[in-house]
Amino acid sequence: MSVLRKMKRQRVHLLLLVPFLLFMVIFKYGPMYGSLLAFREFSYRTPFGGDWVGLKYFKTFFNSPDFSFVLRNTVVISSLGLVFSTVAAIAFAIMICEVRNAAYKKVIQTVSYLPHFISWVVVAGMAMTIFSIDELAPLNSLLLRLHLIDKPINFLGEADHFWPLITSLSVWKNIGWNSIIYIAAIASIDKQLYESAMMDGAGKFRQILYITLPSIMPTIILLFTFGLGYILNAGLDQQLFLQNPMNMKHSEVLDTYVLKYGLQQAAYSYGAAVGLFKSVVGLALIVLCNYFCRRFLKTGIF
Amino acid sequence: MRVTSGERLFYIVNGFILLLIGFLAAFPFWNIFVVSFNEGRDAMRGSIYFWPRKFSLEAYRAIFNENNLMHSTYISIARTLLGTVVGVVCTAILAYLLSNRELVFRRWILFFFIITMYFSGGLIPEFMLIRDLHLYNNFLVYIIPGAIGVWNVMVMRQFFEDLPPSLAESARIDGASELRTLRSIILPMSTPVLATIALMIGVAQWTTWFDTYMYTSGSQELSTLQGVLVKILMETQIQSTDPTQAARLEQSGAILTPEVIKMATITITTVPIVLIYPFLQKYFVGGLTVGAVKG
Amino acid sequence: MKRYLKSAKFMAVAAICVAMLGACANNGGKNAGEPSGSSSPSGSNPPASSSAAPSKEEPITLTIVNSGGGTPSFPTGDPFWENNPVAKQIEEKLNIKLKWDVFSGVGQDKLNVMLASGDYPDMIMLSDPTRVIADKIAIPLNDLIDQYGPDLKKKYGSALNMLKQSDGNIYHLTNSYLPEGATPPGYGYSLQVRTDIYEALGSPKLETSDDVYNYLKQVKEKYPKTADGQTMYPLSGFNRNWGSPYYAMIAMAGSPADSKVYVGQDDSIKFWPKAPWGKDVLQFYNKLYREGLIDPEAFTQDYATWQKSKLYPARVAAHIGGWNQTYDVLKTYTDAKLPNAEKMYFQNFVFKFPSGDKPAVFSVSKKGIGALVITDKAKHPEAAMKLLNYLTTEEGNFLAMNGPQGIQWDMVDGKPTLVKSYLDRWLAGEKQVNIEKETGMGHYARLVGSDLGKTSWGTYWILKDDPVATNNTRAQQRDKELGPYWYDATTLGDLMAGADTDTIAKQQAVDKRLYENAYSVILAKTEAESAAEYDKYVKDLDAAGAVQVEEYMTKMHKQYEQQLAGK
Repeated sequence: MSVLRKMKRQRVHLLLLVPFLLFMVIFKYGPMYGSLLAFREFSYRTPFGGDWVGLKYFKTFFNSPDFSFVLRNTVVISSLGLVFSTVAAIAFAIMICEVRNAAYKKVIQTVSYLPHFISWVVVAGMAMTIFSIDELAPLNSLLLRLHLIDKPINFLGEADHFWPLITSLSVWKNIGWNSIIYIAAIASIDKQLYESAMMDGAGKFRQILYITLPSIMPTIILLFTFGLGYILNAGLDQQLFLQNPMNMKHSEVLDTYVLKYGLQQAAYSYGAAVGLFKSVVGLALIVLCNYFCRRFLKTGIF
Repeated sequence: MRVTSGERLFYIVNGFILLLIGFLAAFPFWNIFVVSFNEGRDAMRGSIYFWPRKFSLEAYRAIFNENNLMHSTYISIARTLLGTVVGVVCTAILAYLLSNRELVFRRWILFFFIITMYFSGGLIPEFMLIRDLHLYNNFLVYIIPGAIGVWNVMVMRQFFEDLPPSLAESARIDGASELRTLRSIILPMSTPVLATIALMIGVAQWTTWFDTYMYTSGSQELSTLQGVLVKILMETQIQSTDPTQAARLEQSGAILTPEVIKMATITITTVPIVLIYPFLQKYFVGGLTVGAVKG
Repeated sequence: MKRYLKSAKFMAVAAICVAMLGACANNGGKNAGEPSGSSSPSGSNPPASSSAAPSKEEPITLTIVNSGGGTPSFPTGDPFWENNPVAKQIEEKLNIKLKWDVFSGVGQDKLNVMLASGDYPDMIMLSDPTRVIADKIAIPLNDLIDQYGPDLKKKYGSALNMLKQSDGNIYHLTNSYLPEGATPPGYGYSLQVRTDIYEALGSPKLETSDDVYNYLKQVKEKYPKTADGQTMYPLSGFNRNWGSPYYAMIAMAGSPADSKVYVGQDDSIKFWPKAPWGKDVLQFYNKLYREGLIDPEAFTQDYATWQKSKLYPARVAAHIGGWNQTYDVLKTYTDAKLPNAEKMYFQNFVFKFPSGDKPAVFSVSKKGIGALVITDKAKHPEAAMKLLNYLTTEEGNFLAMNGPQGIQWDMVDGKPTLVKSYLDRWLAGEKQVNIEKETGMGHYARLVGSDLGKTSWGTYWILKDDPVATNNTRAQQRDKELGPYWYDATTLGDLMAGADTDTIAKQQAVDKRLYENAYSVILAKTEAESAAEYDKYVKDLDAAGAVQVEEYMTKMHKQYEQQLAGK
């Protein structure tokens, strides 16, 4: 059917879309001229910025000696966080949905997302107390007493331990909250499918593997793809409060780097350049991911 | 149906692992809760685990002394209720419109929305926009700009798409309009995702403070609970990035926020959410799918 | 049923919404599009000087925003703004009122947004005025100072030359500057030792780094554990890019405190590791580490964690850092009823390194810190200057620092003295914010005020800090010990001003390595390894562009010296 014909048939539909498109134009596309500040000197006097400087700040950013390792850290921390958080949230959602006692389910689910509301400042403070090598610190004392290790592990003071540490903290912090969507997805699965599977003799694991997971796969792909687009946003607070000179090789990420060393005077333009870089990369990744998902998994987000 | 022993083992192990996760999640929060009821100076010595060492309400007293607290709480409740309703309605309508697989220009329209998730103009242009729309110092600044979150829309759209298409088809054949279809057929079957998005939007409304900070002049009329709490946390912090100035400020007695107040603010923000959530839980149980798609 | 509930909810919410909108429409209407209104001169005002006849005319109101925080932040419209005692006194004396707005937290963002939107007040307090000057938001002050600021001119003295921009105009004023001819009180970094342990070990002299090393060794031998059985650390620390122990140590070796540089031969500026004593300081620290005299977590824990797990549980016997970092802890010890708690306060010492220069534990600048500008939106800049001038007179500065006479202080035998009730509260450790609320002190102190130097009565500018006035022996000890070691760092401020992007980028890369790589030297396992790491440390700095940055800084330093002398 030709495009115009389609448009005519769906005219009510399209008309209803117009206010939303307008909303986007006003509230999102309108302010986007601010990204141009990446190419200009900042000036309070003009909204579009001052003198044109082209790629100056991009060059400064890419040429800084720390660029590559900062970028590497950002990508690694984000990816680890994305992968493990997704897996953990899905696993947790499945486990919760399998609980038969309604009260138990409610309680566990409610407490599971409490960490989401604890700010990273406080989490970092707790982490420093728990994971420290001091004799009062619980984790090392426990491990020593169980004879699993013979001297304390310096979680906070060695670069190699940083990535596992920060990933574990991220997973802990968000497992409950992230699982809410997956729980809703699982709750939306037609119960009949399970009943017929059980009648065919399928056990718990087969049910999960062949019914639950495929049914929520579109949601998983959706959230994973979006997460991929944010790969260069490894977070500011979570690294900032747990960084120290010892682990800096693995803990300096884009946002902390720009915050601390972002060319104080030209901070606004420099920040805009970095932001633009992040956006472009993010969007490119989404498009790529979407292409591969459509090609190999038959479903993508657009 | 009889439960096999294999299944019983599964349930036990499942329950046990969940207990562990629950404990790991709950204990730190319990600790925060307990420390918030401890005397400030004593809390600085650390080592408080399960119960306050020196019980004191000083943190809460300091917060409740803020003369604006009651009014700010009303504003927060108002914005959470109104913002959630508006947000859910807009999100649902848009998600439904986008869930139509036959929609012309579909991929382009979706892409149009998705771009806005990753590109933004920055603080200054957004502020100018708010000001030019007369939303500055206006209660509606809490409602309108955030009415459509593209991420929420995409999630909801995914759920709508996964519903059996025969439902919408039969409604359309019966001559129902789009909105009617949405209201009578789709929504009742989508309570889990609606509840989820409502929760996300509600919590966002309850916990956000940046818009209060940036888009209001600080007047008492529009201050939110979170705005007040964050202000308490920020006002005694060392502001300067210049090391000499920061050193001077610190040495002159501008003390860092006592830990107990940090703990109290987290508690005040979170406890209402914890209390309300159990009532929403029933909506997460499946929609009216049973019996709808027979035959 | 569900539908009914849903529409009931709708109606309830709609009702609230309408009520809100009603309330806010009024407010919104008043303030729509005016983030922080411009000055509102009410009535006519005589341009003549202020101390004239009791004028019944409307006071001139100037608007001001403090984007740097650090002062009590009350909601807009709170009576504190108008009613605080200092504001009242100023209104009485000068017929000028200030309408305040304070940004706490991410003040810079809010300031940027306010300036970009074109709605800014008459005066702005901020950290860095470069952009504001370049965009001509700040007006030149030279004429105003000449006409209405005679006291201001006198107090700043030669510093005014330093505040001139390349076009010869002065656009901003500063606070916490060293007034012409003044000597600062004893503040800054020091070695702090816990008195109970110190006295038990015979109160040895602590004048050199070797003395300190021996002392710490003795502490470790005799006091390995606290009364609770936890490990006692002779020395501990925390990681921070300023204010942390190793910056304190280089200050004792001669690097002007917080500056990260050292002034070498022929007046050149170099990064501190290149100083003749640079290696010695790092190796000293390394020796302490290798012999277990420092808490191994000194480099990973942050300030708050250090306080919580080491300092407040009384596990720290000595500390090198800002004097205030261990000042407050005595009260915790006494509250917790630790044995011998009254003796567990920390005393201050300054020690020298054999190869070091004179310790420079407290940096002061005639140029001051921060910035205050008068904007082009000010309709009465002369009134603003009159106010600022008043705040630089002895009377005005003292008022801003302490509040008016009769509340916190009174004149006794011709000397300002703290009222007993307030003195007791200060000594009991009451929060400064509370007393600021009652007296208005501090609020106007960071406009153009300075607490450096002494009043003509011989007291500190801020009475509660005066060791004599408060009869505070601990503060007296600190004052005496640290007093001689202040450093005039006027020509060491803003050494990167006007640098091009490339140089700034190099400076930031060097700064990062300066801070992070020092720890490789400190944590080396043997002395030889530490020496090797040190060489690598310096080489890395140069590889990141240290030489170019140093050249630029030297150039600016010499330029400032010229400026100070009046060019």
